[in-house]
Amino acid sequence: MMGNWATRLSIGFLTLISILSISMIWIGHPNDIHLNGNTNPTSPDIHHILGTDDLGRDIGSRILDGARISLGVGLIAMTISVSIGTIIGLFSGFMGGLTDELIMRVVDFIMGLPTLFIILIIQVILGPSLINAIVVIGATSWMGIARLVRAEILSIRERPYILAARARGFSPWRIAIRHALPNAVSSIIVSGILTMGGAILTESVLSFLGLGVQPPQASWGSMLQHSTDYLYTAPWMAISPGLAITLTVLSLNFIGDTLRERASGGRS
Amino acid sequence: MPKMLKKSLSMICSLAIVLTATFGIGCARKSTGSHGTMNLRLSGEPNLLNPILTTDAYSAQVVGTIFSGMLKVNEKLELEPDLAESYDISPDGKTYIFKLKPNVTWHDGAPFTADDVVFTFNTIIDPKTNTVRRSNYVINGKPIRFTAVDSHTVKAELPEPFAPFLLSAAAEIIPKHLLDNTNINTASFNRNPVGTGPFKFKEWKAGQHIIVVKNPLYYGKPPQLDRIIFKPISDYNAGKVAIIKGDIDEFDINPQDLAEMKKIRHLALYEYDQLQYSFVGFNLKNHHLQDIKVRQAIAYAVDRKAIVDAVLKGHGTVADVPISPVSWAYPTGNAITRYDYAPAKSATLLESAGYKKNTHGIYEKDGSELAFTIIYGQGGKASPKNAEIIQSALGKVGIKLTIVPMEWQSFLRIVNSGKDPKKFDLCMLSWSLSPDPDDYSIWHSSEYPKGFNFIGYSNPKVDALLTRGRTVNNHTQRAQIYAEASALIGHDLPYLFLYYPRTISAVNQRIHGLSEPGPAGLFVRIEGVSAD
Repeated sequence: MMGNWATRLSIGFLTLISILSISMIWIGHPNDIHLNGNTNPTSPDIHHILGTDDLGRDIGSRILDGARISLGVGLIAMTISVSIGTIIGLFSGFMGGLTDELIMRVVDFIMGLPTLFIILIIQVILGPSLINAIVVIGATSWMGIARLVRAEILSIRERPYILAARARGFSPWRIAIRHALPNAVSSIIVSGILTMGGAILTESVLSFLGLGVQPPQASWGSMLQHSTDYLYTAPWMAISPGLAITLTVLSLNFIGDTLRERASGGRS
Repeated sequence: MPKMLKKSLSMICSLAIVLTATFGIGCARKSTGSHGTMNLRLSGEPNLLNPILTTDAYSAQVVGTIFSGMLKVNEKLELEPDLAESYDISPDGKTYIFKLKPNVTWHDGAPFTADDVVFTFNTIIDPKTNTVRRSNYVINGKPIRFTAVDSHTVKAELPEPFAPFLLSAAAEIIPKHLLDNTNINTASFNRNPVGTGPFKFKEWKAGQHIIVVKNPLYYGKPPQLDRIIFKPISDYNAGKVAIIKGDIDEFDINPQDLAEMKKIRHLALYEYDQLQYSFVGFNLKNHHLQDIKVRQAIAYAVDRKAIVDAVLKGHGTVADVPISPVSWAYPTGNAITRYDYAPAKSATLLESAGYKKNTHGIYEKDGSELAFTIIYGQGGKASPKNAEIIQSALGKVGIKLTIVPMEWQSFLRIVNSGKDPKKFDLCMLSWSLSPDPDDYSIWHSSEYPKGFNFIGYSNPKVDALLTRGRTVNNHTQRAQIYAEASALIGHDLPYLFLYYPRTISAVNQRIHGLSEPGPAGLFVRIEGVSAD
């Protein structure tokens, strides 16, 4: 029950921030630099609700502009990882036997790799860019979903209606997609939403290290990085992007958890 | 719920009080127990303490207290006699005679003679020695010949006149009696050095400290300090904590921290110029950037004063020429062409060069947009901000700039590729200059594509001046030659000169006898430094 208002707040927060961030495409120039001999970040006031940074940019509008990057990266990376994970999970679960065994060991192996370092290496080799970041994040976060889907399929595939479908001679792919997959959809969605939170965090880390979005485009991670020189003198430069990341990931987690409860509650 | 929150808050408060108290005690104990000792921060762990082999600034910092050279660079960046008493240059500029001080001894008591000097330079010239200094003693492929005329006279014969040699002659001298017939690259001497300087090597604990102690046999003014402890602290923030706590006595701070440091009572702050400038280099083989009007348009579009204010917090000066204002060869004010911020001129210049704005608001000519990339090596705090400001400024004028920060090695690979053309449009970098104004390797046309003239600059007048500057020995004449060359280069705008950054040093008030703050630092006369 407690999850209810938190979830509603979360949905409200994400919706608001999405609408505002999209509207930033048309209004304002969030990344314009204003150097008026002013050599210090200015604290929050009536003109700049969240203050400005050391290059005279309004932090509030950059947070909203950066939201497009963070949410966009999260969404696309999530789509990529859900697609890869679902296909591999479906295939592995349905084939069973040695193939399943092999694929799952490969998944175990990939899960054992230090993902962040692999992402860093790839970004250094291919050069920092947003597209690379998205693809790499998506391509390294599908394993959980693959295991989840496989587990669902394994439990479904011995059920009478699947056996019946087999007996009628339907092709395995038709059975997998038309009959088995729909049963796994709810857990895929839940897992996808949680993955999205993870992807947003990873993007922040990459941008913090200078390997994510490139200027003038802002992202929450790069704003945090920019603030490190001013932690004591202008803490608002760090607090806003930090809060934005925390609240967004928290919201996604709340929504994911509520959906999971609903899904499992519905089944039992 | 609110009750619990209160409780945990008060716990945090008391914890903070305990922590400050502990720090306070630590601080007091440190400052009372360190009479006659100075603690200096090294920004990294030295690899060797041999003056002819070292390549990094922090090794050089330690080496400078242990060893001395025939000459030394003073606060005014001029050379003055050190181990040498006097020197003479023949009228043709090819023979140098150095008279050495008598009665100088090595830290182990052995006498210092001309043989040590000859041994040092011959070891540097020896191709088997793993040193980056060899090129200073080889002129056009021919090595300089060093001979001992008598026990305290050294003769250097140059294949041709080469004025910057005097600075190379100031290199620190190593003892022949300890290093003759050893492999210099692997000698145990390199971690247990013996010199002639004001301080003797005592102890090196890797990762912890290097200790040098007073040399009672020093030939100059007797050193005041009993010892100097060098502490490798690579992290800036750790260094900042150390200077505040009193663990180290000198630290170069970032301008952002100035206000905070001013409040700390035991610190004195010194601000001084460096022999250094930051710039954006134009690849002059790029067909847009070849046109001086395009380069001028870029220069007028960028408010460099605002960059100094925003990025360096005003602790620097706008640069217009490739030589530092503290150098003795800096040109006079009216000889310098200044491209001060005037964005309106940018548009006029581009239009007169035949460029027109396209539908995206970007200038183009013959279907080719003024769209560039700027590359720089990651790591510095200033570069990303400079790049963003320049990007924004050029965008307003109608020139597109993409920022590509690179890992250092990849950056150097492009810039030093040795090939023509090089794969960059603009590159951001800083030059640290030597006290001698000879920057032949940066500006002479023969230094492209191999050499430091990686932008492909070529001006016959500048070439002639740089060549002449190496053969003239008269100080005043050389100053004029290099001033003229710098002014010409500044006018040609091969770089967008950004600024001369200033160093801000915080020094513990208990340290006295610092030298006049300047590009040579605060410890030019380390023997005169004392501590309460």
